[in-house]
Amino acid sequence: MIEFRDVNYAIGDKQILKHVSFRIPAGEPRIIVGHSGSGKSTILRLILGLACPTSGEIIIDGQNICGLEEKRLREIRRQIGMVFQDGALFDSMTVGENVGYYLLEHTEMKLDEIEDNVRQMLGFVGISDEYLDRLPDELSGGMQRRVAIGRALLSTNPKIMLYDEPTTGLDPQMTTNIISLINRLMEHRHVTSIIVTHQIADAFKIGDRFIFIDAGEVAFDGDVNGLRDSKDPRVVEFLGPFRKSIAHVHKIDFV
Amino acid sequence: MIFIQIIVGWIKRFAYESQQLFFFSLKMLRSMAGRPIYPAETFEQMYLIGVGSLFLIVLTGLSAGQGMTLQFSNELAEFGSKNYLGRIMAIAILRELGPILTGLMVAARVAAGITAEIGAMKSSNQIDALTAFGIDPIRKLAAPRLIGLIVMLPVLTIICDIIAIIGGWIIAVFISHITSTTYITAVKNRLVFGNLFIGIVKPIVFSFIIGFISCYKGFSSEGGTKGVGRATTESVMLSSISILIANFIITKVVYSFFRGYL
Repeated sequence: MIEFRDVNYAIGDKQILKHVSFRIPAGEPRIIVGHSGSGKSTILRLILGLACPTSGEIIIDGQNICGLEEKRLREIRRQIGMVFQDGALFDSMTVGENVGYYLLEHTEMKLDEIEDNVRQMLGFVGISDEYLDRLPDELSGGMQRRVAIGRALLSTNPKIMLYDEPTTGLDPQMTTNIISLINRLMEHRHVTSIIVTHQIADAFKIGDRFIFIDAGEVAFDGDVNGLRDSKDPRVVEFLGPFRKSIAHVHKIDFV
Repeated sequence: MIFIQIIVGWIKRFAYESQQLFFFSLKMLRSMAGRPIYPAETFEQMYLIGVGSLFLIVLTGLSAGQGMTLQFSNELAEFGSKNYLGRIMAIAILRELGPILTGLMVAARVAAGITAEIGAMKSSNQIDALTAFGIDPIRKLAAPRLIGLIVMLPVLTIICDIIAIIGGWIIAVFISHITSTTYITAVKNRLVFGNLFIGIVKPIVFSFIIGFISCYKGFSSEGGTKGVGRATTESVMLSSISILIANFIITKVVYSFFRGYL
């Protein structure tokens, strides 16, 4: 379970998050939506312990991670898989090295065993073996995102998956592929998933529980019907033309 | 009033940056001691720093040695003291020019590279990705570079010293018409413990300066590619200035306390 209790976060004089509170039960997905710069990605950074809140508590599996020593934080991070915006693949390493990096660093596995695992994972995320020795720069944006998902999955066998803008900048076909992959992961592995996006149309294809962040505040936390019926002017403005079509959007199943 | 506010702002920023650099340097030193170690990355950095800078250092040493010998031989000739040429060259190169020229050249070449590389990794979230995998990015990225510098900078300085003295020998023998034996004997006379010691201590100190500053600037860079560019420039500037200041302090300390060994 992930819980934010009255979390505030500021950089210098700039308040990024204001009194943010929510709870995500284990195994459930949650879509965090909001305008660019509203503080959505900061929530993911806080969950990973990459930044520390100014005040408040972040509870992961019953433990407040704020102020934990680095060694303990590292243990918690090993339960979390993170897919960064734009993938954040290590650009000096090949696709295979990227995906197998965690196993190489943290396990005693032999190289051929790691390679087998990497091939299986690449197959799972829909990348063929021919890309194993390519550098990330040689891949399209969508492929980079899929390699990043594979890297996150193989690295930690995570209980929690965090996706930061997984479909931003991708063409419609690639967006569909990534969304179906995320849905497949949620259904087959039952990991707690948090997907941050400002692409409202994509958000409805992934899940039906939403948190809407506006200017660092939680403006809405609830299901798709509540979001559609919300009278909060911030929600109404954000949803815009999508509001009426929400009922017609369905989750994309992995093909 | 505005002028005073600007000065106070500078002082505050300098104090803050110094404090951050100090704590970052402590983290780097701590990361060198623990496990895991990264031998492959460390050897790669030693190669990139050492072999990569070799041509530049040889050229610098040769140019400095020849230029200095030409200048000194003309001046010493007026006093009939050309036989002292090797002695002066050995002192100037071993104690001052070798370490400082190598330090500045490596600062310009390597510090820029380190800051740009780490800064680019930071701006593309690769450092966050490392942290997310439970890897200490300072141990993984900064420690191998610092070790590479500590090992290779003294080696490069020794090479620079040798090349500069050889360059001086070429000018002394073929242009200033001093006998080879006179030059070499004079150089040998000044190859004493104190001169060799100061010539090794300086590059070791400089390697820490370059390593700390360039890695700190990379890790603390902000503002995308523009920020990385600014951090790179600051890294080279700050490393070079710090090397010049440290050089003076070391020389002063050695002259104050170890004069008998020189």
